[in-house]
Amino acid sequence: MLEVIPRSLIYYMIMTCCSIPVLHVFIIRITKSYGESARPLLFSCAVSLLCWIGMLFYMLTFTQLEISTNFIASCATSLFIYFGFVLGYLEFFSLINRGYSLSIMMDISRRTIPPSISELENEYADGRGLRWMLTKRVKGLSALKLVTENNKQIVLNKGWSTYVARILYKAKILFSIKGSG
Amino acid sequence: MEPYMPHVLAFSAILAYIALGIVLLRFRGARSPIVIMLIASLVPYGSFLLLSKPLDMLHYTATYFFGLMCFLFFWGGLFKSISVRIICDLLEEETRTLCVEDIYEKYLLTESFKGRLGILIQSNYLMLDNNGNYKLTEAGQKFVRRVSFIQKIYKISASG
Repeated sequence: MLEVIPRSLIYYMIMTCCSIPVLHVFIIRITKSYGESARPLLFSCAVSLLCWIGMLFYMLTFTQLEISTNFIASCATSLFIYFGFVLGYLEFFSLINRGYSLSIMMDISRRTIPPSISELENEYADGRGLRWMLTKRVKGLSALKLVTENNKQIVLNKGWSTYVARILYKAKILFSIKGSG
Repeated sequence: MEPYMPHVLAFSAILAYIALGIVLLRFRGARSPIVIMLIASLVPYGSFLLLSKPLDMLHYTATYFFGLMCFLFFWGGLFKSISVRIICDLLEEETRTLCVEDIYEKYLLTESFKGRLGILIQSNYLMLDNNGNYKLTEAGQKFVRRVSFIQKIYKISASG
């Protein structure tokens, strides 16, 4: 039986991962928070991981399970499944929440008369306009202290911000990405 | 076989995948990079699986899945993120400074916004009518209906 337990840790983790979207929607509904907020998502990810850790401690306490290499390998696999799933789910949620092309399509679908390019530009993201998106992105970069906004100009900060920029720039060359966005 | 061997092999397969991706992206021509990277992910996964029998599939697949997600998250950000584009453009400038209006006019409106509209037309989600206005195609309407349903579940009022 003790041989089976490390394997069951992985199956519990798969079940835990499946519960993340359910818990996420549940939290949004009961707290009446906006879906755009990242907090319910982070909270549901943290709660599900804590549940799994609780299960792990329960097994270690009540099943005389020994910490063997097999056990450690199963824990590592479980965590790989968890973080892999969370990354995939984050990507999916970000697409639904912040998708650029998606927003253009949603704006067109809301209108009864087909819009021109300038109408689309001004009414992007439910009437907020394309400039709003740029402001949002610049504010995000400022909050991360990567850039400083000064007199309608953006300046790349010195120090680690420049290192981050260099890494991203070189990675773009390595993967043959011309432009982007 | 040691219990940690599937993890070692999966990480080796991920390194092989990244190397394969770099080579394939250089010779991609007009093909979609996303499709190339997704199809390429199957090659190292299958090759390492065939070459190293017997292998614990669950450990190997989970570790490969994790490595793949990490890489695609990073690569997807490089490829599509507007923030990454702004940072890289700033680095290219000698003064490390860009005017917000220039970013908006040159990049966001001309390259990015019109580029996305072009991609949506190519993908058959949008069409241009005779007056130069944009309309959703039948496939586009179907897609929007599905996404609206998901957004309702998550109570997302506006995306972008």
